[in-house]
Amino acid sequence: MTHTLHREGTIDGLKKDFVVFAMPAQGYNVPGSGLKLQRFLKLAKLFNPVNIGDNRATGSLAQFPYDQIAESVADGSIVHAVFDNVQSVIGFLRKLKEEDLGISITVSGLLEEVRKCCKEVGLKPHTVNLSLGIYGKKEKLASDDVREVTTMCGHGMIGGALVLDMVDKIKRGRITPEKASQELCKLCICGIFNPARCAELLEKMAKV
Amino acid sequence: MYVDQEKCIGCKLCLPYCPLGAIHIENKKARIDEEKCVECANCKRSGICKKEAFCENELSWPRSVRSQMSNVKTEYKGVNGRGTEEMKTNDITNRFTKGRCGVAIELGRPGVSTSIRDLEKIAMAIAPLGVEFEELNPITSYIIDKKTGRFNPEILDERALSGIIEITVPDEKLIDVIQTVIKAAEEIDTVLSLDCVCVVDENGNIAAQKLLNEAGIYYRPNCKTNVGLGRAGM
Repeated sequence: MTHTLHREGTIDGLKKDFVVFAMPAQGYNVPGSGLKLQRFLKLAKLFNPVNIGDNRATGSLAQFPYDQIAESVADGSIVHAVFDNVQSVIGFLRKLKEEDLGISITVSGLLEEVRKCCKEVGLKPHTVNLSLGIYGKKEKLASDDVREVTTMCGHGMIGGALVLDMVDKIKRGRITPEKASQELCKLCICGIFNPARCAELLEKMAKV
Repeated sequence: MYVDQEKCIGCKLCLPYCPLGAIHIENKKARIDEEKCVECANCKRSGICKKEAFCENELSWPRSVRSQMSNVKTEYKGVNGRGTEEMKTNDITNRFTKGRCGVAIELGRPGVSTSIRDLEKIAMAIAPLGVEFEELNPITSYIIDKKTGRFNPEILDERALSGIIEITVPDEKLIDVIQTVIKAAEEIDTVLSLDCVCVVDENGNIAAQKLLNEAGIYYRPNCKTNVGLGRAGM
């Protein structure tokens, strides 16, 4: 499940897009992990994530209130928090280090930025997952600007046609970029979609 | 999935909600193209149909493979989604170690979908290189001969939103495997997203990064980093 990898965009765009998530390891630390994962989400709240999610019991912030998501997490789930700035990631990682939950934490984002975060907090990265891009029949892909939006849901629940439909509605004044972004966000039940970045991208596309 | 024709009012609002464009209008009602549909259930889950016309069939083998591979709510060996814990818990599991990288080849992503037949083509291209298929990955359970990469023939005509082949390889074989995948990608009727996993050494170096640089293979500036806070037991 490489669900947060392969997000596309410019360096400037990706500087506003970090996913921090926690996952217990089957056979090692699943029993009792629910409370730790709940704590993860409660700590994340201190740093104003633009989205959170748990794809088992509930879903994302576009579908459920924050506290309901956090309090419903059960043993063995995987929980996510999305941030639109690196300072929040640094603050959150510092807090996670202090609390020492014992759950594996992964950060998805620009490698050099994440390295700086780890250095500042005093963490040693353990493993890295590099995205080598797309191969094959690329003519079947949606356009680059559409993929910047759709690849924020790694499970592919947001189709290119829906993005274009939203852009069209924005152009005609039927919906705001923010509301369109929330509508798309609802489909990504893991809560890894970044609605703040999406709204900016939709607005830009609607101006073309 | 199917549309209850009695409930559908033909409003067309649902059409863009299918990530693969499998919903169309026929006789003023929405219908689902069974061949295109990968049973991800996104149409129903989206809640766009206020008449609740989207219904899930009870799927029999081999069509059930579509749901297994495409519905994000499906769980396989304790993990939701299409793959495994891979590097996300590697600070505990040590699935990937110094000298042994991981490679994941996700066919159909982003947003194109894949046939199982195309997954088999890629598996057969890399199997002779001595790769180790990840036992906990659902795709591996469909491979009937790991030496050849051949899949269960009953499922070859099925489709999925995407499917991930996960393998591990010794560092010295990494570039050969990646180049083989890139070459084999020319033979498939879809796209694939490629990635590799590598532990960070005590000096902060990433062996795979050096190998990729030397081979001139592109990688994106954004990635996933396991920051090493996990431990076994609580």
